[in-house]
Amino acid sequence: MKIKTKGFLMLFFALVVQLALAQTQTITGTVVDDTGMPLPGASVVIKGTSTGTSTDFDGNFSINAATGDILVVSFMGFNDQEIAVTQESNYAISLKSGESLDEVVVTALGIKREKKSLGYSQQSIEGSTVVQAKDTDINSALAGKIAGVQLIGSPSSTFDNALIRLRGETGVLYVVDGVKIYSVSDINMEDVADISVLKGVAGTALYGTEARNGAVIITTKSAKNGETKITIDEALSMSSLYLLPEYQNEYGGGYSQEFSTFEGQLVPNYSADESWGPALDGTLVRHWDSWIPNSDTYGELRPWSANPDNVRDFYETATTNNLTFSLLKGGDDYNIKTTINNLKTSLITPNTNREQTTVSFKGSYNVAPKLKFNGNFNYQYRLTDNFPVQGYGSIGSNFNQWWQRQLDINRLKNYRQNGQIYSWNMKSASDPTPLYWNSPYFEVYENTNAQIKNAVYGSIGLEYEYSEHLSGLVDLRRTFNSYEYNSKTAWYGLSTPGYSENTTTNEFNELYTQINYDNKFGQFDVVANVGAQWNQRKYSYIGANTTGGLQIPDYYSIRTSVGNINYSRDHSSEKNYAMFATTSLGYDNYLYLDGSYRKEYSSTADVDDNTVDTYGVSASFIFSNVLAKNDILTFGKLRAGIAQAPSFPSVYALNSTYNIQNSYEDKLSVSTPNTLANSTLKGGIREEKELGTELRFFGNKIGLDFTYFDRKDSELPSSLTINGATGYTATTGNESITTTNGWELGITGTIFDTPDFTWNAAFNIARYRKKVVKINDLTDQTLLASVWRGYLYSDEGDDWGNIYGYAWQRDDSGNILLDESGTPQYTNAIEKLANIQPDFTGGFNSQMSYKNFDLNFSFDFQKGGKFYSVTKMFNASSGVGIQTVGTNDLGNSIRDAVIDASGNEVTSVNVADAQSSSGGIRVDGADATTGELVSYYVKPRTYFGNLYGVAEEWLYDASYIKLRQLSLGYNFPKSMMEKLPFENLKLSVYANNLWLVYSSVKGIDPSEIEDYYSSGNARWVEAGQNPSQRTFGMDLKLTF
Amino acid sequence: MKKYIIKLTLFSILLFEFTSCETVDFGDTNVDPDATTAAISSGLLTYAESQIGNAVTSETGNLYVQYISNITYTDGSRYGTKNWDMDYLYYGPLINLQTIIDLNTNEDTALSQSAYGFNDNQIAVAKLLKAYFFQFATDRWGMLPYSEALQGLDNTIPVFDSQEEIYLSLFDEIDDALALINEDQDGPTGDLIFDGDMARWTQFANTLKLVMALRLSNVYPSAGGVAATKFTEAMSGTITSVEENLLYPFIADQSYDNPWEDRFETREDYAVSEPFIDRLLADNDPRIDVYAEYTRSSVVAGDPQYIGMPYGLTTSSYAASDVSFITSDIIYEQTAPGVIFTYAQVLFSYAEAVELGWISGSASDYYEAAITASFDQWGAEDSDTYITSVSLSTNAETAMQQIAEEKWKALFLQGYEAWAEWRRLGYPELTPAAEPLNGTDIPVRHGYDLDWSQSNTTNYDAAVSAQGEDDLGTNIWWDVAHPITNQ
Repeated sequence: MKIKTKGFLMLFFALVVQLALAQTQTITGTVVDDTGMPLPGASVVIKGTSTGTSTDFDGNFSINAATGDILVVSFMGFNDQEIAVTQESNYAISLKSGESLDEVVVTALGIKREKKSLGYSQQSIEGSTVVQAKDTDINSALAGKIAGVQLIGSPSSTFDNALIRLRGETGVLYVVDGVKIYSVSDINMEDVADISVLKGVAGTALYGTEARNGAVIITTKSAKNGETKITIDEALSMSSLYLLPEYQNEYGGGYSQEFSTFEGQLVPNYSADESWGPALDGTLVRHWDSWIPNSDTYGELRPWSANPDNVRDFYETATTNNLTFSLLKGGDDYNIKTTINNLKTSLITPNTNREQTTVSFKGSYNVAPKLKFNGNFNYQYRLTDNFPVQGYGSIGSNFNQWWQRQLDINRLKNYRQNGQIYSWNMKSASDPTPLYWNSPYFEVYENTNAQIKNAVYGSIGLEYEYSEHLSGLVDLRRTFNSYEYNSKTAWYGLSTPGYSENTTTNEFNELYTQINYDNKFGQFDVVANVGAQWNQRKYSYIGANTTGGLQIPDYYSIRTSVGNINYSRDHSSEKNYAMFATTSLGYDNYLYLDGSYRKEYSSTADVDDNTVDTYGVSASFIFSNVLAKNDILTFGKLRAGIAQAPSFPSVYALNSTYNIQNSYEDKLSVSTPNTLANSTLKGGIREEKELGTELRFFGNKIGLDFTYFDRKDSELPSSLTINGATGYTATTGNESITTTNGWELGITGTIFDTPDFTWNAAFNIARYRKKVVKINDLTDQTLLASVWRGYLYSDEGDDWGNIYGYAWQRDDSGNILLDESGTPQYTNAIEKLANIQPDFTGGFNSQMSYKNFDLNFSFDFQKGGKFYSVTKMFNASSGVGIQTVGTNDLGNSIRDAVIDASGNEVTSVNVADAQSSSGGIRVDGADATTGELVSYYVKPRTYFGNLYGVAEEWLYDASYIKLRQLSLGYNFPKSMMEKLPFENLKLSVYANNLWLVYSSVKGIDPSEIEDYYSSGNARWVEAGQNPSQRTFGMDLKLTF
Repeated sequence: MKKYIIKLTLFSILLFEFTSCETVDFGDTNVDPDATTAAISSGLLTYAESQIGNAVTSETGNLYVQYISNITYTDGSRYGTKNWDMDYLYYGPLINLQTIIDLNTNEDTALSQSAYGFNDNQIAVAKLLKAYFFQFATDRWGMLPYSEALQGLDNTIPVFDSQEEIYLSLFDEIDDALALINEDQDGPTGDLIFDGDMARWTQFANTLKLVMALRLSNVYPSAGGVAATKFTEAMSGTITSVEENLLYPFIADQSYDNPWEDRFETREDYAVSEPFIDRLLADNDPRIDVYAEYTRSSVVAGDPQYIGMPYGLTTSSYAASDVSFITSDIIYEQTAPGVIFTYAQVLFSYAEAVELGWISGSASDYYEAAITASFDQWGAEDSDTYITSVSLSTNAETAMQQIAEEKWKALFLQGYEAWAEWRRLGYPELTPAAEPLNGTDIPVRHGYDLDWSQSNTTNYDAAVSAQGEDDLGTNIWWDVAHPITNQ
């Protein structure tokens, strides 16, 4: 990578030299409001062209313009003003506040529309607000900033991307400069100029099936006519661990409180991976490393004492170095942009590194007066050297679920001594082979994996302007991602050594054409588009892994497998054709009516029924235009729409095929599929009605945007589970009906607006409820996922996403039934326990600026929704968690022996029969047979063990409030810039994932639940949650 | 430029052209290249048979009858799982076997399938294996979807048949299979157990029938009754020597090796149970040397000992080195075979049948031959001395207890079979785990698959009301007192 970076630098300097030679005459000016205050960010455009600029912080602008040109100056909430350019080179322009709100936004298929004309909800955010805290994941950057975006985070100490849910659905389409991309990680965040989020079907109808769950449309930076801009941005950040479950530090590893002895010395139980052992009282014992022959520690006796920070100390401070060069240049008939980004990052888990370089190029030029070429090309090379393992069995699972609390983490670094591998979790003093766990350092330094990602996307196209009113374009777009992955199970560790490697590629090709018509007839505006697309998606996976071990020590290759090599492959291909037409009719700038039609064909549906027609109609009414002018309501709009989106079956769901298993010697083995194919599966329709209003008060000081939507999914091809005794576990059908309704509310306010100090804030909140109206003619329930005795169901007539599991048997007053040893009794069958849908989600953002400083922060929150925590379950049953220590109502440690009336040590005793010296955790309930209220003292290891797998006990509320981002920036004053070769210099400090203000579950961040055994990206269970990390950084941005 | 305009115009014409189509032909785009649509009955049989390997090596029954004990995580020995996955039997072996039967029966496909063995022989083997798996299932859960099962979407809520109905129907299936077997014709080519040897399948059929018939001793005790009739019918065709034991051949391939070996690849979760070790030691049973290993710590100390792991401790702090493991010939041997039925079991069955009055002969002779067969099977020495020490009593009740207890010793590691026989015979007397996680006693049944109360609610509820609580303590139909011992 070093060589590549050098190359980029040379290219960069070459461009700097070229710039110095390109001198042009410019005119300058200042834009102020009617009180004389400068307006930063006002738009200055040469009329009839796309050439323009915007004012800086002090309201200053500069632009290339010829005498006779007309400058159109506009600013949100103010009336536009037109200025004729004369010989004068400096202009003072004063804008009057007004009602016009001709904000232009990007809508489906990249079509630019006046926001006021839209009959559906759309929200834009500027790239600069998203990248202010240098978040490299667009989804977490969107958190809390857009009403109705529900963030489904991933553990921040992993390389996983977060997901977003729009109106209850994941699977959102991401489009960058017209190209549909595969993974949000392909996006070069430093390159983003504008993000337009289309939440509903009305907004995305033109995309058809691909954007039925919503779309995020990203426009990258480009230069305005006459603009030359070079930006260098360097951000450095450090991340550290901030959230772990609470541990007890009173008792060490073991299953009982006695040490064993060897030649008079005390020996702990190394084979235990729980912390029910002896009290950490400093007694001298032979720790695990005291048995390593010829080592410094051999035979050593060290105190049996607490190491409260052992887990915390394992995690490191991670660093990120994010360097971006951006080169923009625009002229009369061309426009080019190059962005080069190099991102080097590590995680708090040791030995986890990633380096990626992304190069984006976008250019357009007029080949002929009316013919324009557009092209963009994006390439990303990413090397990930060791992903942290997640899920059950990961290091997160090791530390929080199966661990000896007293372990000295630094000593575990010496896992290799005298050519032998050692673990704290040895089988016994005489047998150092690991039993359940390797040293965590062995896991991260030896059991490694690596991935190389190559991602390319881009498009080439021609745009022809036939006349002022008619234009057309043809684009050829391609996205290609490939991942090469390998993973080692290292020699001499816990598991048989092994090696696996695989290659995955995704490919998407699209031929796209569109014709636009735009005209005015008196008071009427007409905009019409027709277009067509031919899509093809391909996926391929080829993988191999060794079995039974490897032949050559310390060498990893598929070809050295001891047993048969396991080979697997998976390929799929699908095609989709579509055509569409849309028309928008506007009357006198306050009444708009849109209609759209789309016809789509898919290769995945029944060949005799593989098309779906969809329609949409929406209207926008700017009612403030017809009201009498007043000081309160500045702008008011009502919108309403109804639209449809098709949904096609997933690939290969139509034909019954046999699964090919590994052969038994020379005998072929095949099995019937578990999912019964449905040969008549066709596409279905999602229909959504949407009503909304946009209001602005007191000269735009307060804004309000409210949307209500009501969605119905009919005949959508969907998977449903059936009783296994049929010989199958699932099938697919077109009968299911689900509805989703909800609302989204955004409130914006300008709290302060003085020359030196401005403060804008935005609050948003949204709610949705997805309901299952019908599953199928065969069943009223379908299983979405099950793991750890927890079940996620979809029930007819109920909210989607019910968690089922064992519940406690209770009497009428709610007391848990206990058997005669104090064991709580759970139900014979699973019961409905909770639902995963949140009550509402939202966020709060603030942007303040004082003179040259700006301070921004954003909160996001969720109320309600449940998840299942396996970490909490084993954290208790293994004696690692804080809840496994304390005193009972007799004043004795709950870990002390439970003593019955005769003075015997027992696992449980009725409170009435217990000695006053008895330990044990007090368990209250009702006797399962007699119904009488009873209480027992129970050995905590037994008690917490008895809670295993009873989902009711381990469901947690996913509510949270998080201060996600905070940034403070300083713009160096203009006066200082004059002496320097820069136009702008900005220094910022920022923090990401700063503070989990509120969470109802201790030690786990509900906004970062790992993607473990999810179904439809439900994220309802975690099994080995990795800890959260917090990032602080510094950013220097230079603009030439 | 004109050309371009023309192109655009052509394009739009094309566009509207294709709006008139109601469907588009995408050719074979939607054909999965990684799966086959070709039905190959040999492959289905290989797959179905491979599931027997798991059935005969499961740890669960071995825990219940206390052959083995959990060392640290004692959930299994404390009956921690109430509801057990059953779907895997239906969507695994059973539907594949049913497909073999259908493919070889259907006139359109029978001819092409005859490439994988004579149609009737394929059908016969599939029916026998179906009977095997259904008996395996009903002995665990009792009532089951049987007559309406395996019908795909034609019946997604199959009723539960009573265990009696299932057993009687399975006898018919076995008899059908026996009638279909043609030893002069080719056996199924996918047969990994007997390699298409139909004479061996005749033995399998009769041995299975014999075992199933005896399983009904408590509900059809009378000589000449249903069970006795089926029993005597089967006698002529069972295996007749230790060499003919019905074994499942595991091979040195991670996909098809002995699951015991997999369990011990990295972990050491199971040891031989204290009650079993102590009984073998008390009886001076030489088979202890082939069943178990000395504890590692006793070997290091120079005084090799067999020490069993106490059964079902509520919390255990035992070290693996202090307890005896199952013989390393099984837990560290990928190719150690799985045991389906043995000659020893056949002979114990004859001994019992004599006691029940179903057949004539000497119970004692069969009993002693059975013990010898068990010794031979395991390669244990000195059966004669041992037999003398445990000779069969003339008192029918005592004799029955002796037969049951010797059978228990002989069925070592045949978990589910041993558990079924222990439930039927009531011996040996075993002490349940001190604090069971479910119920109060050793399980006598498995709870239905957790999701069945949801996916087939009406029939599930009907089965529970007919059979009893859906837990581990409800006796299944054949599990009533033994006619001789009343246990």
